[in-house]
Amino acid sequence: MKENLTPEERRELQLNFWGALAMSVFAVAYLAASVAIPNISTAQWYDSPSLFPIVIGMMLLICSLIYLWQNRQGWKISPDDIEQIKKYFRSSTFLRLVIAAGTLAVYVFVLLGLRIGSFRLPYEAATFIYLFVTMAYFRPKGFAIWKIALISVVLSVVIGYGFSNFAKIPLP
Amino acid sequence: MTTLLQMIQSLIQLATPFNLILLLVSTCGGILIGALPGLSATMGIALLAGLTYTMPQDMAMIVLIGIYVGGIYGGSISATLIGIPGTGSAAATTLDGYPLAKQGLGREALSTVTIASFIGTLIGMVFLAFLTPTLQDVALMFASHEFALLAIFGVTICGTLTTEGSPLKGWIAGFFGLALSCVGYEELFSVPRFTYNNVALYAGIAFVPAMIGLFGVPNIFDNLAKGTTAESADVSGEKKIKIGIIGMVKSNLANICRSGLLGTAIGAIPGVGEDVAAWLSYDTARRSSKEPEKFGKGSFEGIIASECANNAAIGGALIPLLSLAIPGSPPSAVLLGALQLHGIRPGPMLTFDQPEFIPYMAALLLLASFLMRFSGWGICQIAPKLLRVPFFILMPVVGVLSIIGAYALNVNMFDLTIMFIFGVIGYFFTKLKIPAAPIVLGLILGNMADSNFRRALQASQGSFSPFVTRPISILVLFLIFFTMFSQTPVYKSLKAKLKKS
Repeated sequence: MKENLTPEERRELQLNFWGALAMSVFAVAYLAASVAIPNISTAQWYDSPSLFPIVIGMMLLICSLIYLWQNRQGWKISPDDIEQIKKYFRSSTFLRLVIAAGTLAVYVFVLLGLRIGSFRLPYEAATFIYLFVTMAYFRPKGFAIWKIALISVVLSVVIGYGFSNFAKIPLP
Repeated sequence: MTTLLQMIQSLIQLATPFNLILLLVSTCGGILIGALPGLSATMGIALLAGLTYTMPQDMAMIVLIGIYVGGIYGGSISATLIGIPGTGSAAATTLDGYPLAKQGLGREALSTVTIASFIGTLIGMVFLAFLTPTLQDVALMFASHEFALLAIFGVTICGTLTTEGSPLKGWIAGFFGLALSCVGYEELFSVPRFTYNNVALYAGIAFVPAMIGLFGVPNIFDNLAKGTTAESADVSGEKKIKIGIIGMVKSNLANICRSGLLGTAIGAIPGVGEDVAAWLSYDTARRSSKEPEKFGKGSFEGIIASECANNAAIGGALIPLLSLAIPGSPPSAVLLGALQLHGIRPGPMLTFDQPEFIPYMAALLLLASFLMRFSGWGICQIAPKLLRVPFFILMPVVGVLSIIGAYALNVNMFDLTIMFIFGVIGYFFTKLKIPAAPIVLGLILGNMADSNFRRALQASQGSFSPFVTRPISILVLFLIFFTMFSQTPVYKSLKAKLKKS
């Protein structure tokens, strides 16, 4: 690796390298899957459903490999880098990220359309739970929890009623 | 002259209090729909096509055109204020609108966007009213070869414009989007591709949930993780620049004229639409600008170019729609269905059967643009205050609205899965500084590129020679080559040498 890089430049080089490697692997897998697409027995080569995916897969692979080559010096990971990565995973920013993603995932995959026997959780209730939990976790110190509850109730009712009854937009 | 008289007659007919109020409400409704990520103009027209079925024809046209004009403009509001384009055509506006809002110029950016959208709509309207026969002849010269190449050009140019540093990242993103657009049943022979017997994938990956995932979800994760509201814009008035329509037109006349012409021309090409118009205009503005380094960091020229073009494309898209019954863009495709529902038969016979219809639509566009300008002025005063809302309240609400947007178009829970997956992908891509816009454009244009590419080869029985002998194909090929070659060190050193000598 070049000697006089700043830590940010070094990190960017490493990210570029590993990103390009991941895209190259994706491109190879995509090409393999493209070749496996069933063909039409009576079709000419230019009718083939796999023609366009193969062309695009090749372009993706070429661009990824060129980018990989341009950032080839980023492959080295020093013990310091590993320490930095460990430090990031232990940081409060990472925890907040996990909570933000986790609450959204629970809302999308669990709460929306949740059925317990014959009871289906209404949209407004699911939305209230998501808004309340997320706002409560991320609120600054000193912001009263009852205000969070009130805001969550009002927003979930307004959004639910407004979209479904007033605007006639279907809700999940 | 006849057209002008018919337009004046239509304006008089439309200028009743009831019609104007209906148009104002529709335009505001369109703005709201466009501003909410995922609720596009296409969706607005689709929803209302059915609701307007029982209305008289005139009323229905007023509502639908109001939604169309408002929807295209509305996408730029969320693009500017929260960095999430409300519609695909506003993705180019995000590049400069959002940085401007972060610099405390949110109100000014919105004012500029509003004026540019207004002028763009007017330019498109003029072409629709007076130049439909000429433009329809040009549009007819485009065949499968040109459509396929135009799609590739749209993706490469978007990739070039949206990357910091090496454009390879943008092209990788564009090809990634094109690759993902191949998921599902392909158009020519209905052969399933990359579906792995998953029924949910048979229809392919819908671009709206993917767009919301790529633009909106990383924004939500990032702001909640860092604990800030996207560097809240300063709307206290310390950085006030007065944006007046006359001043803006005077200082950006070339940009406005060029963007309006480009937008109309691209809009008039069947199937291409406002998205490509915005990107092409943005690129042209950047290349012609005296301050190209500002593009992507908060350039008023950039947002003028993209908004003027995408709104001019409305009038452009109506040209092939009304004269050939071939939609110029996705919203106009839905509008075609709505027109037919109301007994209007767009096509070559329209000028004989209902000669006053095209001037009538032009008059509607004219009125809608003025009402959009008026509503937009009100929005510019209120909307930037949205950025004062604390992040821990705003971001979860954006999440809820994004989910509604992702779900509402197809009423399909699988779209929420797509949204979440693309959100995670988008988050990683943000960290890798790989732009999201080319992925979205690849998803939008992929099917067009694929089916037209193979149709073109079918027509020439496998020969590639029409791609390099047809005049328009040669032009588009040259543009693709130039877009990529101009980013290479070879070109840059040649340019430097030429400048020295």
